[in-house]
Amino acid sequence: MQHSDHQTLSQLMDGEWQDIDSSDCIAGICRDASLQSKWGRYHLIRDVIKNESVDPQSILAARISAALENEPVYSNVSVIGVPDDADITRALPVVPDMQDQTRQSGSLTKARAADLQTQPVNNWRTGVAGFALAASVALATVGGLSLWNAGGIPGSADDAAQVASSTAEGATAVGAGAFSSQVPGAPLPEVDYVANTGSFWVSPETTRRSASEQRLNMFLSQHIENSPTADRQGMLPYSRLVGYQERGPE
Amino acid sequence: MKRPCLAAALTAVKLATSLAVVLASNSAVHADDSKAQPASESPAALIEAMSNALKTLNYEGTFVHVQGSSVKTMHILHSSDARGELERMRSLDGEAREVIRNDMKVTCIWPASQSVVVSKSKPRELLPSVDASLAHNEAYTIRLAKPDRVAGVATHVVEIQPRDQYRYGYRFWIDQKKRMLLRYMLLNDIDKAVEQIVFTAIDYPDIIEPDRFDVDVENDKVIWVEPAVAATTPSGSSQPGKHDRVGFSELPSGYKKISETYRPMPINDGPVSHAMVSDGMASVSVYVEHVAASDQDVSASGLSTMGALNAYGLSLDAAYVTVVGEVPAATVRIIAESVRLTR
Repeated sequence: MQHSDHQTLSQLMDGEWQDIDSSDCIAGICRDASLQSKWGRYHLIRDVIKNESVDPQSILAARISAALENEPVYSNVSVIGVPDDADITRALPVVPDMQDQTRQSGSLTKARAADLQTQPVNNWRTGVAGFALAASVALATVGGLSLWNAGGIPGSADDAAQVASSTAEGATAVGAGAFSSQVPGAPLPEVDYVANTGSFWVSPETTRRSASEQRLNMFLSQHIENSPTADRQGMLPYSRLVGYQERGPE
Repeated sequence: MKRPCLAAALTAVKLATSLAVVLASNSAVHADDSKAQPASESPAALIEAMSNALKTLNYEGTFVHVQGSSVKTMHILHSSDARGELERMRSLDGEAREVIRNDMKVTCIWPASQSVVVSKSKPRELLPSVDASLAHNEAYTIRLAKPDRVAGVATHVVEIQPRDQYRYGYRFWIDQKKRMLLRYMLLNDIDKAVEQIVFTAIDYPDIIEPDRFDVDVENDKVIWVEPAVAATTPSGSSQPGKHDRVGFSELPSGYKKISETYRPMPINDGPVSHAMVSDGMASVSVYVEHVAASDQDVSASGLSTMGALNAYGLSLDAAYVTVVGEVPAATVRIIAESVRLTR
């Protein structure tokens, strides 16, 4: 397909018929299957952008459908019970290499699910995984937007498949570390643990709770009441006291 | 199978389009905010106006307090009229702790230990004075940053950056109309937040009924702890000869001693000297317990940390020094080590 064909098709779509021979152009579309396909995609995209109803039989829709059917399944749903094999495969986050693993072994076994179930539950780890998953989805969305913006309207017959492919790669690249955190034996993602202190006194050298917290809290409350600069901190000084924890992390 | 996939694909495309529209409209709102409400005051004046708003406005809101690895949600109610200020702060997570303040006293309610601790509130006018204007404070640079939004409200952002490692940086998000502080952040030397509060909802009621600040005294299991507070002796007129005065051999640049009192403390047998050191933005308390080395509680010796707060305990021959403040660890240590007691 020539660049001039794209240009002509765009002009026809935009109603800029003055500079082109529209009858020739329409005749060309009728002769060329790829132009027909592109014409259909352009209309579908326009309809979606304008929030208009879309013909589900359109060629692009069929392509996206096909691409999505071949797309790996992503899920951040954790295994809670011991489901049957099919349930496990559906519930676990599946990345391409894991898909291969699944294909090789046929399916995940109940024993594997039991292993997963006996893994100590680590909330922050799940949280990080969930966040990374969300990030990968966001990347996929932004990636889609970038393609959209850079190319304007998808230009080749394989665009839909390319978008699907790049989405999968993006998700894998960003999310692989996080997904692997849910796979026994795989290295954990590196987490920036900001501080080892919460709302309780600790000794930074030993990371142990201070042995004299009552005294320190008494001094702190006196400090708050007598600080001439506390009024610039709003509610923070007293929220330190209210939020103070008697117990540190287990 | 095709139809759900198609629907999903189309939904994704629509979402992406909507996202682009939302992003574009947000940018437009941002731009409009900054155009609509340019800061007519200097950043230092904004900080002063914010301090004033915190004391004089009626407000009710929910905010999140992030301290180290701890996140707490809290509710605050504040009223101010000719009779003075009333403030009630309650934790919405875990133990329902409360602090209720008026101009006379501070009441801390700890349900888990079934206790209410009441202490005397210090009138603001009796506090040692610091230079209210930050414009000429050589320890910091102060500037306006790009406007932002907090809890759906357009805010000015004021950044106060330290010139050395002995103090934190500060970032204030100030309501453009009400001058209320809606977000506050303490930053360490690598510009990382060590502590912050963020309002998620804020309201400015015209009237707040006073009974909303009443302590629930129905629970007869509650133990009221009201420590006897002796008259505070202001600096310079303390009982001469009864204790040593607190001095410093060398304070970090910009810090100076601004007050000293000698008073009883709730959990101490004898009075404690309390010196206040400030650089005009941060304050540090220096407590000196006048006890012989053999009677000292040295369990808090060395550095202790809670979020942005640091404390340093140090034993001297006839006194035990504890320094507490919302300053970096190095600062409390240097201040503690520079304490000199003189008759």
